[in-house]
Amino acid sequence: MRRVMAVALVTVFLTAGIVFAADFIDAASDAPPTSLQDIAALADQAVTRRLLAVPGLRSIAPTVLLAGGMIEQNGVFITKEYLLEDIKPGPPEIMEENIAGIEAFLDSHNKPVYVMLIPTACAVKQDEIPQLAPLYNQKEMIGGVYERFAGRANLVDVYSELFAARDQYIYYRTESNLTGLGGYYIYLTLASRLGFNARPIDQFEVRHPVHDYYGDLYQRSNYKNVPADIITVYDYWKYDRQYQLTHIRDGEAKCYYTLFPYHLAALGEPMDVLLGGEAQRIDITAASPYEESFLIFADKTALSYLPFLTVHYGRITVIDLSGLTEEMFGEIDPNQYDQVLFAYSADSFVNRPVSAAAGKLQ
Amino acid sequence: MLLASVGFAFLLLPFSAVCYYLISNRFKTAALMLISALFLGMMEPAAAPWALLSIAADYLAVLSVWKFELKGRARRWLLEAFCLKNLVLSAIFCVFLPLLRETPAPVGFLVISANATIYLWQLFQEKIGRLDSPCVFGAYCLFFGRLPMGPIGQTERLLPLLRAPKPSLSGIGQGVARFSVGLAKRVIFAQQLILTGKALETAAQREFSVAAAWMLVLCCALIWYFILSSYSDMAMGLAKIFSLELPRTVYFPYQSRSFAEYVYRSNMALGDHIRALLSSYPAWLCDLALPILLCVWAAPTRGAFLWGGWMALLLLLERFAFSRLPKKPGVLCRIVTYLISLPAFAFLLSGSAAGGLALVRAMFGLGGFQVVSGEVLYIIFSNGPLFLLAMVSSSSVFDQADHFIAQKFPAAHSVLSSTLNIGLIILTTSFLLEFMR
Repeated sequence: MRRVMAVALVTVFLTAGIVFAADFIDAASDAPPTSLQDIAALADQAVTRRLLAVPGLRSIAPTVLLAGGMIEQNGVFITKEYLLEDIKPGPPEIMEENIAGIEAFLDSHNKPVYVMLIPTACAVKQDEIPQLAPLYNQKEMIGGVYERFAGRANLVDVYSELFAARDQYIYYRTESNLTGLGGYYIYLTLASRLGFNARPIDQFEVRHPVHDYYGDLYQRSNYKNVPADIITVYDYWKYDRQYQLTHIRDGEAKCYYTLFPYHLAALGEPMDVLLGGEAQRIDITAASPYEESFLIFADKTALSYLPFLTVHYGRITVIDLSGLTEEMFGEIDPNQYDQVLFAYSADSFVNRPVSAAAGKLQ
Repeated sequence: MLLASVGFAFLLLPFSAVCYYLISNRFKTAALMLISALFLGMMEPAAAPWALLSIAADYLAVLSVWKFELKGRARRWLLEAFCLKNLVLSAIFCVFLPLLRETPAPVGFLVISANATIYLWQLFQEKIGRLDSPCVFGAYCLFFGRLPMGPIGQTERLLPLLRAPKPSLSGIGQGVARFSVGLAKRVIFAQQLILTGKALETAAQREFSVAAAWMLVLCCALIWYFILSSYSDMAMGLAKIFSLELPRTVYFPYQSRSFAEYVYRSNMALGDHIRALLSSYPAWLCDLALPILLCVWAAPTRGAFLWGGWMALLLLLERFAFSRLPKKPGVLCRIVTYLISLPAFAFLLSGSAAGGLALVRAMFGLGGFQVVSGEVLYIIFSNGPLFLLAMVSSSSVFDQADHFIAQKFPAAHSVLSSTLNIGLIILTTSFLLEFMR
């Protein structure tokens, strides 16, 4: 090997060692290693942290794999503009528990109950995924679940509406959730089932408080050449509405007088501009001519369509059953509400016990 | 595995090399022994003390032979006793316990025991003419670069360099380049093929097909090659970095013209030692011993022993039956050898005779399975370039192209190889970050 190239390689090799040694010493002073294996682990951590900060380095491997035809990596499909999570069902018992929870609720409450399962992006945007890719048949799953509740609950089919709008920006590119526009299409279908007329979209002022949002799929995938997401809020302007939003997360209750606390984006949580973000419980009271109340058991997909529903109700409560404490269970009285909705993404319903605890509510 | 980690490649290895070269030549071997012992402790904290105790006992035996000038029967018995000790310990730690507990064998134990045994054996045969210091003996047995997969022995290459180290800057550069190639094979090819194999297994469980059977076996064969070959390259590279010389262990077995050549090329160092050891025994015994020892070496699992059994059977058939068949052209020999040895990986994959036979039957369309399922087709298309590149890389095409360019266009070769080396280091680093997620 030519001497010059040998010197260059050796120099790079030794420089790397010196740079990373400094990081290692920093890390070791915080958490001194007590064994040889600790030293090896600390070395890995120090070097990984430094290498991850090198711009573009992480993206090389997934880009090369993508160029070689590997469109699915780490359970995420990489398309031109989207990261689409490949949904696989969990153990069948989970879905059965969820169904049993709703059935137990139906048995113990004599209320108009609605059930809505929302397909995820990889089902709606399946045109962007290779035909041979073995996708979980969410439509079939939703149909099967709806058959179990036929005649007992009102079923809301949003699949067709979302599929028809699949070319629009209805799902986030880097997050497994619906955008505000996707929420509007859900609202359109919900409105007809809930018995009121949906407001046309031009009655909502469109604002974009966050232009450079990168969601959970972006963090999960090493592929970074995907456009950033825009968080859009739809604020009803036609008639004046005053809102009070109580947001309970991890035992902490916060109160806002707006549906969209924009200041939370500056605090490092862009998604929280939508109704304060995910929570165990969200209570919304609106000073409006409507007095009806609505109880929604939902996951994070509720953040997309909830702002539209607040136009039609005096009070809405959104509960994440899977995150409730026993004390919080006691505070929920479904009899105080006019309508009840169970609304989950297909992914949540087959993978997490999101509604299994519904039977505990009396 | 420590060697295929960012911490080792970018911190521990350069740091060790710097310490090694800052020390005077007089103490380099001691430093190398200490570095190797430390890395062994990182790789196998539980087994490391046993390995160190074992070679300490072996050195005491060596010392006894020299100090007390033992001759004849006493010399023979002492050395044979310690060789037997190593054999028994290796059998317990590296074969029986892993088989019983279904856990992997401790990394490095077999290599260290084999190195010590070979040293004792060559001392007995008076091929080693002087008493080496404990540091030379320790560094020879423990050199960390070859702990995962060897090559074992190599006293004639290593001992002179350990006794009198000869640092070389271009050697270090070559070592870095070679180590990067080995690392690339491990984290790019082997790891991606492992992920593809898992996807194929999941697809096959849902809907089995002939194509799934072939792809699973092919995947397994390529993983086997790239793991063995990667550690061979890493060993060579690490040796060069520390001014030592180690030969290639694995040399493109899938382009062999005969089964004997196939098995030999899978671990040439082991093959050389077995042939030397069994030189006074019938050749067919070597045919039986080598593939079985190869599985112990690579992975002492039931599936690996079945692989070895299949290969041993082919070797015996080749010696006693196929040799009577008319000679075939080289290309045909290579294709036939590859195709007939491929089903051995069905046994390695399934881990049982029944499972392996079922997989082999499925490969040949027996069992009523469909030819191909949609999911398997999707995996094939998604990973087509990977498979293609892996199959080409498992042949000597790139090696021969490299030699050709080096001979015809030396200046261009220098620039090209340096550029490719740097590109490979960057690419491998990115894949290492994926590998370590």
